Amino acid sequence: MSRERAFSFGRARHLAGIVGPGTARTGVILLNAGLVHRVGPFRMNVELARRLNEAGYPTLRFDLSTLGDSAVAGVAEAPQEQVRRDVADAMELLAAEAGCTRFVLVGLCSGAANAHVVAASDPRVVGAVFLDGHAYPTMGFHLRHYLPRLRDPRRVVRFLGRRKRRADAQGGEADFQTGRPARGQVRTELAAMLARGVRLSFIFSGGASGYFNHPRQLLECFGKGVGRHPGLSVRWLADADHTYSLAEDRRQLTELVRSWMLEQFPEGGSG
Amino acid sequence: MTARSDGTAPHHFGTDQELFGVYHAPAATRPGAGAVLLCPPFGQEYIRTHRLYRQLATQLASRGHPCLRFDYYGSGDSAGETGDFELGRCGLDLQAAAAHLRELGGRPHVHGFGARLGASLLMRHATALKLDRLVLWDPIVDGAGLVARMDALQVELARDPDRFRTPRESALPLGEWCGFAVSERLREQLMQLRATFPPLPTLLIESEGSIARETLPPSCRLAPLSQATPWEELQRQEIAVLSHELVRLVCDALENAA
Repeated sequence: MSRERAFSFGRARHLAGIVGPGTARTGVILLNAGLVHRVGPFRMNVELARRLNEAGYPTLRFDLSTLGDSAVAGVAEAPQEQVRRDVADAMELLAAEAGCTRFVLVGLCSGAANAHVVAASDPRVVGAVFLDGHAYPTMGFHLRHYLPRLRDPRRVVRFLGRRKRRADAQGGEADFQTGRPARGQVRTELAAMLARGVRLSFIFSGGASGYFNHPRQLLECFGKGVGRHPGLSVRWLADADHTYSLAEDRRQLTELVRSWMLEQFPEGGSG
Repeated sequence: MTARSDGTAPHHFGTDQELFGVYHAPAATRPGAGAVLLCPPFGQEYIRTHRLYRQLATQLASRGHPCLRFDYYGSGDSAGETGDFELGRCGLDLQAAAAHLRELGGRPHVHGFGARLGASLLMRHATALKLDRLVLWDPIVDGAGLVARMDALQVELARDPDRFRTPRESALPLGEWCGFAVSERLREQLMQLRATFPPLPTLLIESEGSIARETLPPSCRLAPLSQATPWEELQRQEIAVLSHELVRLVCDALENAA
C-alpha cells in the first residue's frame, strides 16, 4: 500500500474514512474534533496522519456516525455505545487493510472524550493521545489562574471583556458541548487503562486555560497513581489555541505526537 | 467504486488517484436532470461549508441529479500539502473532476455549483469544461481585494485575545490565512484574479451585494439571500456555514433548468 485510500465501512457500511499507509502493527485512528469532518480543524488530522505514515504507522481518519461523510447505522444506539461501535468498526478496517493488531486513538476536545470512552473499554487500544482532554480545576489551578489577574487591574478588565464578547458571540446558538464525566470516574478509568499497560499522552493547549494551566495539574486532580505513572505524559503548549490555528503550532503538535509514538511504539521507526 | 445504501461513494480519482471525491448517485429518475459538479471554496471556507455541500448534494441527488463533490490538490483528503494549493492546479483538478462526473453520471448536461473561490474557478473554466449552467454563491471577483482582507483577518486572528493567551506576532508576516498556508504563488495568482461572468445561464446567489450590477451579462440572474453569509468575520471562522435557503435556491434553479 503506497498511498491513501478511501473506504466506506462499518456494520452498516455507513462510515467514511481514509486509510494511510504504514507497515507497523500499531495503527493510529484519528477521531473527529467536534463537528468538523475527518480532515480536522485546519486540516490538522491530514497533516498528522501523513507524518505518522512517513514514520511507518498506518492511520485511519474517519467520520463518526452522522458526522462529515458518514451516515447513520440505522439502529438506535446510545451515544457512547455508538462511538464504541464506530471505533470498533474502524479498528476492524485498519486490521484488515494494514494488518494492525493494536491501536492508538488521537482526539481533540470531544475527540479526546470519545478516545477516553473507547480506550477505557476496548483491550485493542494500547495508547491514546488526548488533546485538551479530561482535566479538572484544582486549588492549584485557581491560585495560578486568579492571583495574577487580581494583581493587575488591566487583566481584570480584559477578562471581563472576554467574557462579555464570548456571551455576545454565542448568542442563541446551540451549544454542542456534552457534560464532563465525574472526576472520580475519570480517575478510576485512567488508572485502569494505565494498569492495563495503555500509554497515555495528554497534550493541552492554551485554549484549555479555562480548566488547565500547569502540567502538574493532572497530578493534582487525579493523584499520584495516575499523575506520576510512567505510562502517562503531560505537555502544555500554552501559546497554542484550542484548535491549533497557526501552522507553526500544528507543526509543534505533530512533532510531539510523532516523537511520542516512536518512543512508546518504536516499531514504526521508518521516520 | 460501489455506492453505499445512501447512494454516496467516497473514493479517489484522477491521475495517480490524487483527488478525493464523493459521488452522489441520483436517488430518483427525472428526464433531463443534469449532473452537478460541486466546487468547494478554499481554506477555512472549505471546512465551514463541508456540511452544506453534503446537504446540497444529497438534495440534488434526491431530485435526480448525479453529483460529485471533490477536494482540490492540496486540500481536504486529496494529495498534496496545504501550501501546494494554487489556481493553476485547481483548473486541472476541475477538468479531471468534470470528466470523472460525466463518466460516472452518464448525463449529457453538466452544471456547476461553487461558493467563493470555487465560484471564481467555475467562472474561469466553465466554458472550456463545456458546462451547461452555473450557480455561483458569493464569487470572489476581485482577488486583490480578497488578499487584503484575508491578510487583515490573519493579523486580527494572531492578536485575538479570545484565541491566544498572548498575541502571536510571530505568526506574521503573512504566510497563512486562518489556519491555511498561502504560498507566494497563490498570493500572486489571487492578486491577478479578476473573475468575469461567462456567457452561460447563471444564477448568482449573493449575500453581500458587492458585485457591480453592470458587470453582469444578460444570461446572469440574481437571487439575493435573506441573510448575509459571515465569510470573513473573525469570531465565526470556526462556525459552519449552513443555509437551507441556499440549498432550496440551488435545487429550484437546477430543477427548472431540466
